[in-house]
Amino acid sequence: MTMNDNNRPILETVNLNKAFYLGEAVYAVNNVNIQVMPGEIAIIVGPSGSGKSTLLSLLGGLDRPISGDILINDQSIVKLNEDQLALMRRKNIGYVFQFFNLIPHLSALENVELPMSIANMSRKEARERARYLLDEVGLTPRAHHRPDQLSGGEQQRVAIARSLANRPAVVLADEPTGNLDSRTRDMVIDLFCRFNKTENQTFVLITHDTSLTKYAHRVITMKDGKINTIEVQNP
Amino acid sequence: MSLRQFSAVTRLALKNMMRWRWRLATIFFLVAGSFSLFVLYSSMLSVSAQIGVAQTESLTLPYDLMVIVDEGKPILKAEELPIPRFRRDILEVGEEAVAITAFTPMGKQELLGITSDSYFYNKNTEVVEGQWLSNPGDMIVPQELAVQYQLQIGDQIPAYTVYKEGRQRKAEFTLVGFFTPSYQLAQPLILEHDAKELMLLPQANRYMIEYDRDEAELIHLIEWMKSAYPDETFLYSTVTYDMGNELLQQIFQPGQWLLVLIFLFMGIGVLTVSLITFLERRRELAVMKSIGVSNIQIVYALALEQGTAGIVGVLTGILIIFQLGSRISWFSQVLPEKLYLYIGQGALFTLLVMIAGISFPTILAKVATVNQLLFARNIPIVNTHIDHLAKPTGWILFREMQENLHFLKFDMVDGRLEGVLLKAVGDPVKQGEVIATQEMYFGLRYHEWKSPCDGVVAEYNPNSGHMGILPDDPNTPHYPYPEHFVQDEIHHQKQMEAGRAKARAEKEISEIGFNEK
Repeated sequence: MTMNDNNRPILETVNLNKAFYLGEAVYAVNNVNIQVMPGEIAIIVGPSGSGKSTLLSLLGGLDRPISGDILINDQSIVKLNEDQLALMRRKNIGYVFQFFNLIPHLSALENVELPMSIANMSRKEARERARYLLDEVGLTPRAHHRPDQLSGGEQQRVAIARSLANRPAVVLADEPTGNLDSRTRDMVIDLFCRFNKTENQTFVLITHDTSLTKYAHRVITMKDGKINTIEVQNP
Repeated sequence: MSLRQFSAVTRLALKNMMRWRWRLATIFFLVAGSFSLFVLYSSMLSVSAQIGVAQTESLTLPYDLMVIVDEGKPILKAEELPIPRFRRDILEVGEEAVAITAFTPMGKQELLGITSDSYFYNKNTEVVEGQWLSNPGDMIVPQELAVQYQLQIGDQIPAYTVYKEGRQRKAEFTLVGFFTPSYQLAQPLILEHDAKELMLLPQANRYMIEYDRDEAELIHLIEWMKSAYPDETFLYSTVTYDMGNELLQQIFQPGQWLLVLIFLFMGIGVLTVSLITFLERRRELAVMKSIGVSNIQIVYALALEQGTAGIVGVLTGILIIFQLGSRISWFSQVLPEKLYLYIGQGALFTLLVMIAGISFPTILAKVATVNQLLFARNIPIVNTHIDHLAKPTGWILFREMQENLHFLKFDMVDGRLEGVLLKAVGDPVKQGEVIATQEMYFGLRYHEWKSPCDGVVAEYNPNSGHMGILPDDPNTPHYPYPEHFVQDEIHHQKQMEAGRAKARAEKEISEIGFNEK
């Protein structure tokens, strides 16, 4: 994990704005200021259309804000070009998509291995860590299966293992349990908690499922693109 | 990219090639087919052209082109010729001569009057007995003619000519030598001055030219010389050049278009496959970017995938050419250097098409955000960010200076911004905050207007598209426009003020005058 002073937020936004044109300008993210400390699980909740996914895309550098700043490990990312953003993501961000977004022609093992291979890790090391992560998410027997041979829950667990591959500063997960049944959902959330405890991994999750907030150190509620409340708690 | 990363991306590209094998196979077939067709067709044209040229080679001349000028008409000087390209590259040597028809003991002959240092005849003849032309009255003849008429060195050769109104002139020449020509149609040679005297010609009536290019250029030269001497006669290696010229024109004109069509077919095919594949792979590219694959790694992977299909296509095309060629009768007549040239040309065109096919997806993958690759309908290739007046006009600039406003100007069409305006009058803005956006050219171009400073939107003119922002800090510096913009406007304002003062004064005077009346 990237070193960080525990008193400094690992992820911070400053007056963050993002607007879309839907007949008129609609602010999906409106003057958002949040902080996430190292080793936290932060959960962003809110109804559909409240701007959660847009906010997470901005935090991961997948989209660009119209104003404001995003700091990861005290480094601003809004002025980075696409190539610099890719390098930043490689080192600092793991991203879990709602619809998994695994590369379809690679096996589970190769999907997890890929971020490490392109980050200059030796093939042997990358393979060992990929096996370890797949073992951690309980998918060792399915390591050589392609995504279309895996269930939704299994694909999501592969995506989580992939997001953790390069030991990023923060893992961002967009509705990671949104397409899963309740048993698989519990398994996935258990994974987040386990990696948070064993590897002190910081997570930012978004969900509309308020029952998950009990696992979070920080619960951020959004409504109409704005931060409604921020609660800090012991999970 | 380190060796490990290189190896990782290569492995990924190989996996991708398996995944997209049918698309790549389509590219492979397009390249192999078009390439081999291009080379074979070019070769066929080349053989046809050679056949046209070969017919001309039975008759040789010491020059490449002779212009036969009618009596009384001038020989144009090289610098008077209208096309410099030919003067520089083609007309390596040009030389005048005088041809006369005379009755001699060898029968009716055309005697050619040349200078004793004639480039064409010194180069292409060998004196086998006697000597070369040097004194007035000298004549040398081809050895063949000498043998035929049993001529000896020192023989006196009378020559009669007929000129205006049937009057005759006679001259006596001394045979000084025999020569063997390296060309056909060899005539007895005399000195140019003697020829002019015999015919009472004040000027030359022949102009010989040597060019330094290949046969194809000669055709251009002949056409062009015909334009310079529209009514004259021409002699060149053989009259069949005319036939060859026509033949070549007939073959090459439609043939060239067919060659272009072959590559258009390949280009459109490869680009279409690339584009469709890119559209299907947007999600894959987005995922690659989201896990940190850099642009150069994406370019390398795509180039390796499509480049392999292209290279294998060209190599297979070469194989097809030689395999098919061995079964085609005319293929063995293709000159090797021509064949290599066509293979090189085909490979170059293929390379260009492949570069174009790879460029489009890689440019889009480079400029697009992950979300654009995942969700956007259009991906802008050109992004422009504007935070000041792009073309400052005098009055607006003056107001910027005088009223401490910072202006932006949006592109308006019929009083409407063809894009998204995110701020209204009274809204606070931060420096760098996007105020308006506009997409153009099917979303391939994207304009973004950003606030130049922290402040408030003070005014907006929807007709002109100007938006004025009042900065929070009155000391916010203005955009450093070039000094001449400011000076021009100050000068303009002074002139305006002077004009107004003059108008006021004239009005006052006219009012006083009226009152006095």
